[in-house]
Amino acid sequence: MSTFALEVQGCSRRFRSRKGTVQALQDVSFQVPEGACCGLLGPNGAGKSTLIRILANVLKPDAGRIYMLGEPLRWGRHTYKRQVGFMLEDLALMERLTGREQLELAARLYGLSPEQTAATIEALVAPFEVATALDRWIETYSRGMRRQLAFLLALLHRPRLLVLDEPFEAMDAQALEAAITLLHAHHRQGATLLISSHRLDKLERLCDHLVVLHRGRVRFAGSLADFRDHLPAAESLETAYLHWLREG
Amino acid sequence: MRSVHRLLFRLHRRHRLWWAAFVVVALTALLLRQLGHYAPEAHGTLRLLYAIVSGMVLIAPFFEWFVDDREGLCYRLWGVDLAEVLRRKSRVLLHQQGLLALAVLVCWTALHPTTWRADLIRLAALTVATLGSGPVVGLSVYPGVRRWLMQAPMVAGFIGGGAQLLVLGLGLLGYLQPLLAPLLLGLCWHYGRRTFTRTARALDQMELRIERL
Repeated sequence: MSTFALEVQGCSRRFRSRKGTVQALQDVSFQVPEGACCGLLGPNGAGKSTLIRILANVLKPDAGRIYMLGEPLRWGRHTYKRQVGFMLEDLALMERLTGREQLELAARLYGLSPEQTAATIEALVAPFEVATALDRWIETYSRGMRRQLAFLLALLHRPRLLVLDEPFEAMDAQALEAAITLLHAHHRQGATLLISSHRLDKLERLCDHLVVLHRGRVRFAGSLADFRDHLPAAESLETAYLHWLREG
Repeated sequence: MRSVHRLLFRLHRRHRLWWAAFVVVALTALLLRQLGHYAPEAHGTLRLLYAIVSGMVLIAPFFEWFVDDREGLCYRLWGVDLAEVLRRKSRVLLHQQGLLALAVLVCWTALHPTTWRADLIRLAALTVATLGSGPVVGLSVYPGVRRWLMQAPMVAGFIGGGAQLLVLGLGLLGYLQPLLAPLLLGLCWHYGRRTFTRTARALDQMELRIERL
């Protein structure tokens, strides 16, 4: 049995349009051990969102293999997501449902019983601002509320592997704290986390592993301690990362 | 706690066309009754007009019934069996169209008390056959249309609705006897089961154009 919750081997993806070709990912390989919390870093356009869309089976890789929870990822097969929670940059929300209805629909389709659904929703939503707007249509939500709801949808079924793309974006201070507390608790229960974010201060509080992408290639993959060993004088992950970027 | 059916029904109920459809049916029936007073011999023609208008009204729920990319992204991220979702949505569509069809029949029988007995069986059989054919045809063509067009749900809605109108037209012109309606419905149900699976598999194989959402 694999000790990796996520294993990416030689993953590549190119986008073609009339204006030219962009190599979004090139021979990307890395592993995330079971039970780890891994930060996915990189400047804008590094390929983080493309990689996460490929993990979510929304985009098809041109080459490479991916193993999630020990199983090979097959294009067009989506049942593995019963054990994986995704929050993409492109939010998966149905505008003409209320927040509560959207959570209920997801929970019922995950196979949760009505009692489990009600209890889970109440427990998850309580610390977030979106709790006050649960009975409003999602199309009336602010950007922050939408992100809170998408974040909660990813956690709803207590997944063994959680993959989040910019989960902290547009969240206020209270929601941020609540989100980090939830992620900490979920991680403590044994779940593996892969989080792409530009909020390095938040990642530093959560993560023990890092993958750094730059121009579609993996520039670093390993433990946070190893990354900081390059710059022992750096006060924070942010300082170390900025210095690392400058050094190329 | 709401069931999946009820939640999907709510999702698709919230369409302006749905309420507009009831109004159109009622107004058409009223108008035709008034015309019938002036020309009682034209009852057959009025019935044909009413059936055509109400048949078009039945199409209304189609226009948001097909899984667009935003909704598809939700189901894909949740890892649910899309064929099962399509089956559930099909029942929701039948539920919605069934309510509309009921309104159509009630309006007709209420406004034409002298002839409603003669009309009812024919209209009911035609409605049932019509309802059964639309989802099967619409779903069959949907993946092909989706491959080329962003407006695929709308186009597939027109095609599925067009199939319904065709069945209705065949019935009204006498090519489809009311007794054949259950047979047609059985055929639709038989092929529908395969269509749901085939369509879901085809949609699952497609990349979602989420950058345009």
